[in-house]
Amino acid sequence: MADDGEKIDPALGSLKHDIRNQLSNITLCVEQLKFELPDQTEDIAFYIETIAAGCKKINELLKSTD
Amino acid sequence: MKNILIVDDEVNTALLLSKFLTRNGFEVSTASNGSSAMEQLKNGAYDLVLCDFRLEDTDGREMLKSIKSQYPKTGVIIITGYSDIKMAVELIKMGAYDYITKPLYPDEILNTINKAIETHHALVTEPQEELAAVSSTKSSKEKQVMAGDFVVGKSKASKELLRQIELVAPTTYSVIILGESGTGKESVAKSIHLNSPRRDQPFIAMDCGSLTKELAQSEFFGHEKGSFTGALYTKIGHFEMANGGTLFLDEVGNLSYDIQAALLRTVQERKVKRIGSTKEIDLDVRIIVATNENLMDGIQKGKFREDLYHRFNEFTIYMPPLRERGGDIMLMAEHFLKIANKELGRDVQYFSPDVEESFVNYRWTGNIRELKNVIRRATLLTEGDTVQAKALPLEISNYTKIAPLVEHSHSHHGSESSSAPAKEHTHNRSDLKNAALEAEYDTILKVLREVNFNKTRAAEILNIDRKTLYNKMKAINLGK
Repeated sequence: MADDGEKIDPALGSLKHDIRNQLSNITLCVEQLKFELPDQTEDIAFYIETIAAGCKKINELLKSTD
Repeated sequence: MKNILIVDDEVNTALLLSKFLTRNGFEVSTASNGSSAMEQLKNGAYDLVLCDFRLEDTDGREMLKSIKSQYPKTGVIIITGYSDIKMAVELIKMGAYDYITKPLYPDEILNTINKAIETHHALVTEPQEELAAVSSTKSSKEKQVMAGDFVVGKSKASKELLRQIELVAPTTYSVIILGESGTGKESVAKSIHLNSPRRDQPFIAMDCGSLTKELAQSEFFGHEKGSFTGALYTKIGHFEMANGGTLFLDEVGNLSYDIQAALLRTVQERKVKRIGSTKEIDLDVRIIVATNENLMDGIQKGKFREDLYHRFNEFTIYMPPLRERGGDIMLMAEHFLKIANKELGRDVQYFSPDVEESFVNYRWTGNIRELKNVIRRATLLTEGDTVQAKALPLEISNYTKIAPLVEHSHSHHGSESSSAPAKEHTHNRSDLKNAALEAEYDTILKVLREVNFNKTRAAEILNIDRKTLYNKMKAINLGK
């Protein structure tokens, strides 16, 4: 999986690894935010959902290069 | 309150994980490198360590080794950005409960951690089979069929085995693995799991042979605290632990009829209830069972339920006994030799030709497990670089002489063979002594076959002691 990316292009593999690290942090932050903001306004809820969706999309993009 | 130690050199990640886990009811500490982690472990008791694979002063592997050797009760989960199955399998073999890849998802983390802690508590009294890896593992799409330390053989029988595993693994079929004791059934079950879509879920192995009637219900279905005398805490049953993943039942033929009925219901309804609870838990478990006896016989004798058998038997895999695996025997012998050398700090490299001959002709009733033990013992006893016949147990080194006596009428699948092999070996003397010897020989041979060449049991049945049996067997040789 990640091996294929690395075999074809080690720079790509390395980049993916770093991106995944950052994604990890962002995903955990989103989770914590949801907890920290129980009374979310509609806008706040939208922003949080968009961040979460963005992360999901980025991960799919990464997977598609596997 | 469960204690978790997070080891990660990325400050933000460690902090985020800590806050997340604290919020979910855990007591969390963090360390940013290997040495401070070991310091913390010294000063506090932790249930679990979540360790990043890449650390500034060491790596996940080394940490795992240190933690497992000094704090065996502490579970270890390794976090990494690499999806490398060889690494994953190795880590699991070395004792890691599991392996999570980044990016980290909250539910996945919680799930894995909870399962690690529950499994650790529930299984702490069950000795795991040496031959296979423990719990679940992550795998990549890379084709790695066999789990753990299973030596992939080159014989026709091995190739067929591999083919069957690859065929059935991706399906949801329940599998019966049929094979003699020590042929690696658990390894095969684990491999099926790893090649299935459930590979990232738990693999739970149960030894039904060691279950007492009383414990069996509790082990399978779990119980609520206080549901009966002695139920001091809530126990998660193995079905629940395996939920989403694969449940492997070894020696399933040993289960009592009542438990079989309960199992059948659970498997049919796909729901489980803990003893003392009314809550039904939905189950999604893939079942693999193993037995070393022909279940059909058990059914005819009324010991095993036919309906349960049909539930399990969506696919059957036959494990070839070691003696039928030809060239694989030496391949495995060499593999175990390497392992034993490492363990004992030796450098034994070769097998003498007569040792090889013994190995190839011996019956190996204990199959791979027996071979492994024989090699370990031989490595210990060998002073030079070559294993000699004297380092082998008598029954094996003697086998070259007995072999023609015993094997000539042995049919390939170990079924009952013809009754009067002695006729070939008589010298046409019709004196009484010879007649007696012949009769003895025939009886001994018959009994030996019935007990799969287990000399202790044979001696019991023949009503002589083991030493006498040995001597008689030797005497039979000498007479030829």
